[in-house]
Formats: sequence, structure tokens, C-alpha cells
Amino acid sequence: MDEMRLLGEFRAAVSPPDARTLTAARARMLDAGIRGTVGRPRWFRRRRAGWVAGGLSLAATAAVAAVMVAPTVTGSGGPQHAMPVSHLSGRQILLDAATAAAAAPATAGTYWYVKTAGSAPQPYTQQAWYTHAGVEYSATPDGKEVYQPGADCDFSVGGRWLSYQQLKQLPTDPGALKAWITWSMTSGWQPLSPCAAQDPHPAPVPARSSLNIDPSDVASALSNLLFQVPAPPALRAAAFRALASMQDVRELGYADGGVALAIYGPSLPASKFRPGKEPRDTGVVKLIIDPANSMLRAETNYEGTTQILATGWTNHMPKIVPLSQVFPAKS
Amino acid sequence: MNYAPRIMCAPDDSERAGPDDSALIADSCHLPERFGVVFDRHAATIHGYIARRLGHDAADDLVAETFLVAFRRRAAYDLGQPSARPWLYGIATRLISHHRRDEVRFFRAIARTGIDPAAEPVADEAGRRVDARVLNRCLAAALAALSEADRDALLLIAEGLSFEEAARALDVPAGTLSSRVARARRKVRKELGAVNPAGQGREQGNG
Repeated sequence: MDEMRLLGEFRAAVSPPDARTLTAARARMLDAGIRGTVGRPRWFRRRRAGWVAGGLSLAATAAVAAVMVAPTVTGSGGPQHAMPVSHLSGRQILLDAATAAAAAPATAGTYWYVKTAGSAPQPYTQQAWYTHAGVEYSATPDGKEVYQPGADCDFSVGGRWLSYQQLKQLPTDPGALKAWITWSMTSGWQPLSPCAAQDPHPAPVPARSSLNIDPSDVASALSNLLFQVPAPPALRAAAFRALASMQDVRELGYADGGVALAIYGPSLPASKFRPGKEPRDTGVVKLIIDPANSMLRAETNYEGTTQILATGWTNHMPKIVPLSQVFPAKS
Repeated sequence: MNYAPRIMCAPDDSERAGPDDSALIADSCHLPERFGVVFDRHAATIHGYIARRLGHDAADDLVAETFLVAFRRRAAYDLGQPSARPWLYGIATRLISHHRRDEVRFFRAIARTGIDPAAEPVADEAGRRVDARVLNRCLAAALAALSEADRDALLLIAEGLSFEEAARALDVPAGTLSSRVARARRKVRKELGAVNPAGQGREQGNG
């Protein structure tokens, strides 16, 4: 038996898709795609110092996992594809996650540890440890040591940089938190002075300035609160509730490690900054949430997907080596 | 039986009238709706490809995902490539790779039961197609046992992509692709060679 012919028959036996499925997929693509965009300005940036391509040593990863303090189960032990899709609405999943987050015990440790992976701009796995002062250490390519990639301090939230103390003082009312995030993005770039966090409670936002804020950027900043920084339980709960209050939350079914949700904002009027162009787009933010423990597993925004492999407090960090040792100056 | 897979709903590139995919994609940067034509041309095929590897339920989700990703990345499309097929297969394959364990489980289930959930139910399944079922069970077992890279390569070739197209889809050199296909074919042939057509097919362990 010719294996290629058999494969051809095996493939040909597949029954055609349901027409309604394709119609819905097409509509979803054009709907989300047209409202989403390519290469729009960034209102905030996530700190991503020290791209580390490729994987890390398993031993190092395991060692870190072993000392994690926070409930941070890694891997994809979550629901699998074969399971029936949940009948809960996307919004309800977020509200349930908020309840679970609020009930979680407050944890603390010496370092806030974040391990992420993604494929943009190139495949990477990144491990970062943040001290309470927000000083970041990144894992070296072999994962055995860490280095300080920059002089940055403080935690990035929305468009601002906050100390750990300030982070803990962010509003725990969902509406107020959303307003704060929006404000932080409209208030312009603050000069970044190392280790000098900015005032988290500034004057109220002038109403019109929020017009230019893309709701998907707010959604993305809210989801950042769920893994990138050591937000206490009440703040995590507020972030989930604020996400649930976004205009359109759709459940996309089970994905690797949890339930996938798409969060859409309202369509915005055409911007005066882009005369004649399509209305300033409303992007989509996709999240994968593990309903079992309210952990965020992945976030997709216009930049691409960030998989959150682990996040939580730890008391241990590999040995610090100087930057010059990790990236020797080329002669 | 034809060597190439039967492709539903989507005519062959050569038979198709109208502009190349690349022209549509270029237009779609200003007129996003134009991308709908690219969808219409390829969605059913891509759906079938995913359904073959993960079943229909996953294919329903991932075909939508594939085209969402494609749409978002259309500005980066290499306009020198008239057909978007390899590009779309590449995106779909990367999405499938997130469900590697589901795929292995899917193939193993076919190997174990002889029932192919992705296939159209056949009325006389029990009679005429017994041999085919035995072979399919062995084939599914062999596919489950392949490495992901080899399986990707083999199944893209089975989709009717040329070696160059499959290499582009997987973003590997053509030489790498052809050696993966050769290795995969060898392994599958070995598995099928062990079939005793008169009796039960050799079954893969259920571990």
C-alpha cells in the first residue's frame, strides 16, 4: 500500500465544514479584523527588557517553580479541546474569576517572578524577577543567572510607573480603576526617572481626552495588572471586573489552558488626527483565563500573543551577573 | 482513487478566475473586505486540513483563528507569492501545534477504535471498507507516533503542497522539509508494512 495514496484517501474522507461555521468565521474575521488594526501607536509599553530567544534550562525552570509562593500552576493541565464548551457568558467568566481572585490569600515574597513566552517580534521565552522597588532582573539565555537589563525601576501600569506601595493603592473599584488607567494613558509620557515613581492620584481626567484612548489598550493594561505586576487580590478582582464591564465580551471556547475570551470596545468616532481614514480602530484583546484558579494564561493584543507560563512571588533568584558579562561588548 | 486529496468547495488555483491572492491581499490593506475573497477561496480547505488533524470541533475554532491571524498580518504578506495557500497553511499549522497533545490523542483514538470522527459516516462501513478501516487505524497510529515536525511536513505534502510551498509554510529550508518528509514516509510505510490485511491491524500501544 502506497502511504501517500492512503494519506490522500484519509484526508479526502474528511467531511466538509458546516456552511454556517464558515459564514460565522468569515464575519468574525472581517468584523474583528476591520476594527482591529496593524501598527497603531502604542499608548503604553510593557517592559520587555532582554529578549531571550529559545528555551531555558529545565532545571532552572523547575528550581524556580519549586520555590514559587503564589498559586501558579504552570503547564496546560486545564480543560482540553474535547470538553464541551462552557455555557457561561464571557462576562460571567470574568466575574467568576474576580470572585476567585478576591478570595485568594494575599501573598508576598522577595521577588515578583514573571515567566512569559511569545512569538513576536521573534520567538522568545522571558523570565524576569522584580524587587519590591520594581528593579528588574532578567534571566540569562541559559537561565542560570540573572542580570539587570536597565536602570528602570517601578512597575509599569497603564501609562505610568508605580512603586509597589503605589501599586497597592490603586483603586479597587472597577470603574475607578478603569478611569485611572484611561487617565494614565491620556496624561502623556512622563519622563522616566529611575526609581522615582509618579503620582498615582493626579487631577481628574478632562473628559474629552479619553476620546483618543482605544478601549483595547485599556483592556490590555487591565490584563497586564493580572500577571505583570504584583497586584494584591482586591486589585486583581477589580481588574477582572473592569474587563467584564467592557462593551463586548465574547466567549470563544476552550483553548490551551483555559477559556478564551475576546474583549471588544465600542467603535470610536473618526479621529481628528487621522482625517479621512477609517475610524480610529477598536482592537480586540483576547485572553485565556484558567477558570480553576483565575490565572491569566495568555493575552493577545495587536502586538501578538504573550503566554504567561508562571507568575507569582518567590524568595529566590539566580545569581546576579553584570550586564557586560551577558552581552560582552563587541570589538 | 486519486492520489491528491479531494478538496471540497475550493477549486484548484489553476482553475480559479480572478486576481491572485497577493493582489487581493494588497488591496485589502485599503479595502479590508477584499480579504473576504481570500477567505472564500481557502477557508474550506484549511478547515479540512485542521479537521483531519484535530477533528471538526477544533477545526471550527481554528479556521476562524487562522484567518483572524492572517488578516491581522496581511500587511506583512510577501506580495511576490501569488497564492496565499502556503502562508495560510503555515498559520494553521502553528495554531495546530498548540494542540499537539489533542492531535496525538485524536489519532490514537482512531487507531484504537477504527472510527474516524472527522470523516463522513459511511452507510456500509461495516462491510466493504473493513480493509480500509484496518489501514486507517494503522495510519492513524503511525501519525500519532511521528514527531510533530515530521508530521507537519508529511501532512502538508499530503495536502497537495509542493515541497517548496510546504517549506515556506513551515519556514524551514526545502532540504530540511524533504528530509522530514522522507523520514516520515519511511516510518509510516514501516507501520503499514506490518499490517496483516487478513487480520487485525497492528495496534499502537495506548500509552
